Amino acid sequence: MATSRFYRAALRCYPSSFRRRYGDDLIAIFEDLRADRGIRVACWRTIVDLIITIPSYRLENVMSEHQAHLTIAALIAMLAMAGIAIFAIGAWPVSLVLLAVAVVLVAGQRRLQAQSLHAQTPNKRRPLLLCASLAMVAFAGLVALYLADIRDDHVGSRSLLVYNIAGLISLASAVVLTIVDLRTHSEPTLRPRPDRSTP
Amino acid sequence: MSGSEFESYLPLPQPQFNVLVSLSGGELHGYAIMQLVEETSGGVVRMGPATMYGTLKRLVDAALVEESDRRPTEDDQRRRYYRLTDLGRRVCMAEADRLEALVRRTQRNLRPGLA
Repeated sequence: MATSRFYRAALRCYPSSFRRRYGDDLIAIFEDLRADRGIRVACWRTIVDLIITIPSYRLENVMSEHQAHLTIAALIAMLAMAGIAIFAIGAWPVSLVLLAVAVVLVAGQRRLQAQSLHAQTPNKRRPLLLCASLAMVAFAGLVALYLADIRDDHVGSRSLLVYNIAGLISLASAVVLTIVDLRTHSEPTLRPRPDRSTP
Repeated sequence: MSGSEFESYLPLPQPQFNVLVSLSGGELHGYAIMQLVEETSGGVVRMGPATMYGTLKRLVDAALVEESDRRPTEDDQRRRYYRLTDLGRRVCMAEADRLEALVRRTQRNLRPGLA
């Protein structure tokens, strides 16, 4: 039925791990609810449930142990890039604050980041993440050089063209690699669960 | 395991306690848990499907609930059934004891003649 198809489509908003694990059960419950209570009650309860749980589960997924490392790494890269760019246009007090925050985050999270990048479990995301980071650093460096060079009146059009092409390639690489990285299913680090049920 | 060792689990969030209480009567599938939670709370707690499975996921991750391999033959074989683990049973009891102590204290303070 149309409502089941709509609900199945709406389930795509949940994190993929939750969807893979419980997607079929959620649809079965929706159909049971519709058969028992009628379409109005089923739709109303499900829509409220979707509105409440989608942002909540998405946030939980972003802040989960593995994803949090990626989020913090992306935040550090963005702060560093913003700091370099702002320094290049001359607003150095703001730039220093941003760079200081980035350095503090790197110092505070270095152990977790190292664990994430050097996990013993094979993880397809690691090389992608490293390449995306390198491309972002290259882009930040090019922006800084470009902004420093355009102050010079004698800068040639050929060097501007090189900056633009190199900048575009590095930025596009960073974006594409980040998208591919986010779409790649990470293999979780398997750790033995402590037996908490033993008296 | 002594009672104090359950303290890290307590107090249980209301939806988690409701699900544990529902499963304390035996193995149930997702829809039956939802119905039982609504019934036992007098219609006050109405969980949506994703709220219920999110709660179940947390309980399974905490080893308080596990998926059952058995399927009642007359029921839909695709349904997944859940049951309390030994730890889940103890934590549920510890939470019930904690709530009972709160009720007793409330009655003693507010209804001294009846307590």
